[in-house]
Amino acid sequence: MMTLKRTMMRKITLLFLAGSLVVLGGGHVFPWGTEQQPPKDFVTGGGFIFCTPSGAMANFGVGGGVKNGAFWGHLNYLDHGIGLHVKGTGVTNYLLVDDKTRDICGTAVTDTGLNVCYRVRVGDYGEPGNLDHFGIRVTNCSGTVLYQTTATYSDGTCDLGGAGTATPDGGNIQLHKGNPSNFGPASGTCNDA
Amino acid sequence: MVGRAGPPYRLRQEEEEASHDTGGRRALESTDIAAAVVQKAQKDVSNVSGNLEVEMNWTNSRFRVMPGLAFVAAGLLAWPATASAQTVSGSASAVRASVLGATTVLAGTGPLADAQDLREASQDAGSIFSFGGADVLHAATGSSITAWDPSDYVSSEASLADMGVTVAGNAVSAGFVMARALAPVGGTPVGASEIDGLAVNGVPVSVTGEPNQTVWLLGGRVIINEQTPSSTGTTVNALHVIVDGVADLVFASASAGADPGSTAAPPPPPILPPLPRLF
Repeated sequence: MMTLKRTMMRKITLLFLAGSLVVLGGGHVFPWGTEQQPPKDFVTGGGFIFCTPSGAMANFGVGGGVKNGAFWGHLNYLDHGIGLHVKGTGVTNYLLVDDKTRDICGTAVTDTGLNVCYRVRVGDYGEPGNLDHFGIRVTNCSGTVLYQTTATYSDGTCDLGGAGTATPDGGNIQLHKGNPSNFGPASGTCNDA
Repeated sequence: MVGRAGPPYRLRQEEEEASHDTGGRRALESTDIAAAVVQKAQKDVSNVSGNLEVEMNWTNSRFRVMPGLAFVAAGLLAWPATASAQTVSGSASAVRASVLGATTVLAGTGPLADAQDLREASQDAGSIFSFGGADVLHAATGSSITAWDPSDYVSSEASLADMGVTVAGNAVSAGFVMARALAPVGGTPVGASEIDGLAVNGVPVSVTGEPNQTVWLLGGRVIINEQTPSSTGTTVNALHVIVDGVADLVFASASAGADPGSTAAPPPPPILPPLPRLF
């Protein structure tokens, strides 16, 4: 009878210890930091913003993620104020900023034929789309910033849409749950700083 | 049994006849040998006839079994197959234009291949025959299915900016157009459109948000937020410009579907007669 009680107590203690590890220090149980790897999901979005350097409207279409061991996505950005058109040529990184926000890094070419690098930050804050966030920084791939949207938020983004438009949603950013093909390389590059 | 050899009395008679011969011992030995030969012959014949019998039994059994098996196969074929496969569908395009039988697609993803697919398309600007064009064309479709449970879905979206076309004297323009479609596994598909700055023949159009809002053109119509639901998904065309007999232009089209297949248990198999005895 005493042995049975001791066994039960041991089991309960072990369970308590295991539970504590999971709740309090679960992240440290596994030595590799999953936060360093691209998240296994993808994000898409299209819309417009007014947080351009000139305050004019800019349109964008963007996609980012990982698929079958490679980065996935595209970028199309047009600032109507200065006529800058940035067309993505490849995605080089996809990063988790927080549970709603992702960074997409890549290479692009402008309408003037200049090869550039970009980092787009998008946030999916639900519906309608004007709750969502967008920001972009374009560099010469060696640290010189050529273009950057103005920030409303500390993370460098602003809201989609804006007052004065007939439909102020401004498009939408959608963060999607991944499928089993959404795994990427261990890391990527962002040549924007 | 058939083909059995003559009775043993015949051997005894031969033995008696042989014992009357002058070379008795030898005759006896001959008789023994003969008896052994006859016995062996009897045995062989018996074996042969036995094999023949077994062979005939096998043949008979086969003739009896084959119709039975055929009947079982026919019954199984007639059993209704109710378990259907899990399928996904999804595609998106910024522009799809059909003019006099010729169709062109700008920034089209093409269809999803399977539940692990993800597709995108992008174009900085595009012309739509000689009718006009658009900028910042974007389309994406993807499966977010891992376990085919209600939290899984397929979604598609397409958007474009600065669209403007003039077809048979009808001018349609918009600053931004977007369509989105989402089909949850086992749930109701949903679709939505966003159109900013829509004008038809120079007159601003107020977009109500209702599906299939229609604005009439000279010899045609503009369908706003055109939605076509199906049993497992939906298709949303944000802006559909139709000039009868001339052009059919779709701006921002997204479709998504997720069919989890039949989850109902198939009916029990038909009652079949017992199989005939094999042996």
